Amino acid sequence: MKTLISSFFQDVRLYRSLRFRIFLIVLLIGIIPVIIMRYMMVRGYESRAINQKISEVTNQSAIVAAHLARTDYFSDTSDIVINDELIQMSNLYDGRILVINDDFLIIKDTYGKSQGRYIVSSEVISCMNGSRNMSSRDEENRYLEITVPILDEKTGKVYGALVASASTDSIHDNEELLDRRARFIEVIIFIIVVMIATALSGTLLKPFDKVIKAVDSVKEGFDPGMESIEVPDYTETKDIMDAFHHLMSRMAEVDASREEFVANVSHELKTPLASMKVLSDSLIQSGDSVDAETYREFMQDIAAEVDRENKIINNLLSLVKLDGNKDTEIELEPHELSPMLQQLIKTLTPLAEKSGVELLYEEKLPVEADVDETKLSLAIMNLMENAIKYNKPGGWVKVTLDADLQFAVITVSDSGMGIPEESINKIYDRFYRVDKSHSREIGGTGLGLAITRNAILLHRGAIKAASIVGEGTTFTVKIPLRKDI
Amino acid sequence: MDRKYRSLKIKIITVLLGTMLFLCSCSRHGQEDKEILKIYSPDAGYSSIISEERKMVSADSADMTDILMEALSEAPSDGRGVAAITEDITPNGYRSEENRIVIDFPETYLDLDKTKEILIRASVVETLTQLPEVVSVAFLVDGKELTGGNGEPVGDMTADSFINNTGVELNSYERTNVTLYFTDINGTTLKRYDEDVVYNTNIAMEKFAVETLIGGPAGVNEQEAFPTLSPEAKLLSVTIKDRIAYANFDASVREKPYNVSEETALYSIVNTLTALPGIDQVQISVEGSTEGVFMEKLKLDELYERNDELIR
Repeated sequence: MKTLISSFFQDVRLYRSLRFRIFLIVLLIGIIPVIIMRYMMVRGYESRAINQKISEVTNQSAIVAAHLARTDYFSDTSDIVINDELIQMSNLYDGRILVINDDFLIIKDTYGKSQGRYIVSSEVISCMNGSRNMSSRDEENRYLEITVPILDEKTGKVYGALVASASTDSIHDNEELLDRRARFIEVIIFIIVVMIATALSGTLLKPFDKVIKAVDSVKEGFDPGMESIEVPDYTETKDIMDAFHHLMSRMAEVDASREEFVANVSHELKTPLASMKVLSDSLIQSGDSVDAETYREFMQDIAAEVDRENKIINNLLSLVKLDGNKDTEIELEPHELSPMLQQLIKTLTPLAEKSGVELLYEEKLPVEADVDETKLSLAIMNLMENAIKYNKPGGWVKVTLDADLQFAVITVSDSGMGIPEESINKIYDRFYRVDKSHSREIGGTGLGLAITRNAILLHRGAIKAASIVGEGTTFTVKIPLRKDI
Repeated sequence: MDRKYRSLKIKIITVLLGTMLFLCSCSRHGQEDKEILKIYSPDAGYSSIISEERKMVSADSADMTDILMEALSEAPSDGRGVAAITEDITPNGYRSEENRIVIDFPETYLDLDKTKEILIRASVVETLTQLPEVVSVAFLVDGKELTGGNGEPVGDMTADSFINNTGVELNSYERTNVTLYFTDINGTTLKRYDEDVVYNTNIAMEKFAVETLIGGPAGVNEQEAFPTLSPEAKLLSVTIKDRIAYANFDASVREKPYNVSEETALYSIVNTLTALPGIDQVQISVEGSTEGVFMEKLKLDELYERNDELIR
């Protein structure tokens, strides 16, 4: 049963609805005070009425008792005036009156039932001995019991006591009537509150319906123009719509950059193919007139284009692997960085010699860091390759290794042509080239820096480029020493 | 053969009855052996009466009185109260007479103040009158009858003479209005009388109404209203089930001391009962039997409903 209820609260759509909650809140705020008010009103009436009745009956009894004390009723109970007075009072309060003398003997009972009996109840005894009024209430049988002493005002001599009962039926009847009326009002208020709550929960949430409708229309492919969907009714709906617009423009941006990327990729892949086409076409057209030497030369060029195509595709694949999605696996393990860099220099020395560039290595501190060696060496190799390629003959490339408390710092600086300031933020974009006219002769895929940046970011590191055109460029790479930092 | 069978049956019944009687007397005897009785006493402040239940072991009642008198001169074991009969008023003696006990107190009894005295008296009387053979108790002081404040003798007191609890007493009677149907001088029609009465709430209203009806008109002019039933008639029981009142009278209800028709007599009962809430029909029986007729011709095995035609 308990789980049933809790599952109701967890699963039922109604309960989770804001509209329903607003309805419920308004309903409770409307109803609870009314219920409390009714309870307090009825209770308050009851205790007030009972207290009033007690004091009324006590006063009346005291008056009768004083009258009894002045007469010699105790020696002769046939006094018509007093008996009438007692009967009247008994009728007035719908109760019974007992007159008790100082022997605790009942000398008068308005019901005529208990005359001649002795009453030894604690109320009567303490009333007579303490000369004080006693009152109590029997809620179950609906009556009050009042005991007052009959005493001589001057001497204080106690002649006896007077016990009066008074029915509280009329009070209970009134209370019921009051309660019924209050309940009636309560029902009316309940109906009104339900109506108000229904109306409020409906109108208050209308703007959200608009929001849903707007978002739905975009979902279904209708493009109303970014700024035309406005729900200014509430700050909240305005914020939601602003956030939605923001999201939409971000998506548009992503869309545009993807289109550009696809265009770039197709262009880059087409370029080698076009070269191959030209080379092979000219061979076919020349027919038999081409000598074997030319054939070989042309075929070598075609092979070079195939290699380039292959390289572009491989780079694209590794870029996809590194592209910061969650599935990208990176295995961070402690590695000495110095041997890795030295190995890179060794690998690239032939290329450097071919370009007439001097390779320098400086190790300021031996550094050990948690890195994925393959990925990091790929990243640094790309930097070094670029530094060699975009250099001038007789230039230099310098690699330094250093560390501060938290980071390993690797810099790759060169004496190359440098990067113009307006381009420095775009160099990591795929297929971006600073100087498009030179790209053909220098080669490369245009993906190297994008791969480097992705690899560094996977290490939760940072890469920064500083450059002066004509003088050279310095890339600074920072990698956290420990992976859990 | 039939006769033989019958005699055997009688024998068996006799034996069974005998056994049952024997068992009954045994169990009653067993009850007397350890009866639980209340010992009443004033509380410590002499402001009310308290009671303590005690198991009394005794075989015959003379002993029982002695045991109770002994118990009355001891304070209750729980310390809430004091002994009813203190040493200074140790009785000169007491004697059991038929259905009553007379206790003779010394003169010091008169020195007690009124509250103490009434509490002691109530305790003694209420304790002793629990015994089935003690109906009343009388107090003597030095051989003379105890007198009240007005000089009149107090006389015999019964268990009913004392009220311990005002609330219970106030609750036990209620003033109410009963509708009764009596007849006129001819005894052929019914007349409605609303009587303002005080009745004991321990008695069922329907029983009270019928008994008041048997008692005849009171407080009304006798020229106008006449009783319908013999004053000797007794209502043995009346029960209500499914809005039908089953009234069982003794045989004297059939007596006709007044000049009243059978119809008038029967419908005075039926109309009086159906005037009460929750009763629609009446089944009358005489000595527990619904066979035969009420007086002359009205059958008893019928359910009777209210008859307005007889009312004038």
